Amino acid sequence: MSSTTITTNEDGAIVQPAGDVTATSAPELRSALKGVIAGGARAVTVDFSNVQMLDSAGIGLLIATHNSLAKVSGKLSVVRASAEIMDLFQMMRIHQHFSVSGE
Amino acid sequence: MSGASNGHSMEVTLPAIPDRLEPLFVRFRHWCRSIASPADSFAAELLLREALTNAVVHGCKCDPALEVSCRVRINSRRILIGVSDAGGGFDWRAPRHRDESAGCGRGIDILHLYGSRVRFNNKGNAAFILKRLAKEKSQMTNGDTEHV
Repeated sequence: MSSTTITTNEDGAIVQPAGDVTATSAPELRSALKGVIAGGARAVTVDFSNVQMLDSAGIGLLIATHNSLAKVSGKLSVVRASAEIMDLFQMMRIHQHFSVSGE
Repeated sequence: MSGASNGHSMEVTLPAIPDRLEPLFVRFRHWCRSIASPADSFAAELLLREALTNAVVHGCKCDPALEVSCRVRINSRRILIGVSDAGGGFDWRAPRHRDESAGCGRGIDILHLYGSRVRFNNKGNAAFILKRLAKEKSQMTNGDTEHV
C-alpha cells in the first residue's frame, strides 16, 4: 500500500504522494493535508514527483486544500508536475487559484 | 471482474465498488502506452477514469448490488469508450453552473475538454466518448526524435 511522505519545516510542509492523485487515493492524501494544516503549516507544497495521473477528484482535493489554507492566510503550491498534468492544470485554469510548476 | 481483453478492445462488467476500478485503470494504462503517445495515453486514461468513476460514484451511488459496464476499443487513430451503469442517470441537458472554487464537479468538464466527441443516452446513464489520437506512438518515436 502506498503512503504519503510528509516533511515539515518552520512554517510549512512538503507533502509527497507516493503515486497518483485520483478518486482512489484522494482520501489518504486528504487526511495527510488536513493533518499538516491542523498542525499549523501555512505554506503547503505538494510534490508531484511520483504522480502520473490526476483526475477530477484529485483536482477537487487540491482546490479544497487551497480554500482551507486561504482561510488561515496560508498558501498551496504544487511542484514537479508532469507535462500532461501541467496541461490539465492549464485547461482547468487551476493556475489561477494557486501556484503550479512542472518538472 | 468479468470480461475479456486483447490488444485492441476490452469489455468489462463489474460491481459499483470504487476499489474495483483501479486494477482496470492500471491495465488500461499499460495498454495505452504501448499504442499511443504519452499525451494521448494520459488523456485516454483520464477519460476512462472520469466516465467510470462517475458511473460508480454518482450513477450507482457505490451500491455493490448495481453493475457498471465498460467497452473500450482502440486503434492507431482513435479510442472509443462506452460506459453504462444501472443507476437512474442524470440530466446532461441541464445547464451546468461551474463554480471554479468548488471542490467537486469537474468530471463532466474533463470529458468535454479531453474527448473529441461526448454523447449520453436519453436517460443519462450511458456515456459514449471518442478520442482522436494525435499520432501513433510508432510514428512519434520514429519520426519526431530531435537530434542535437
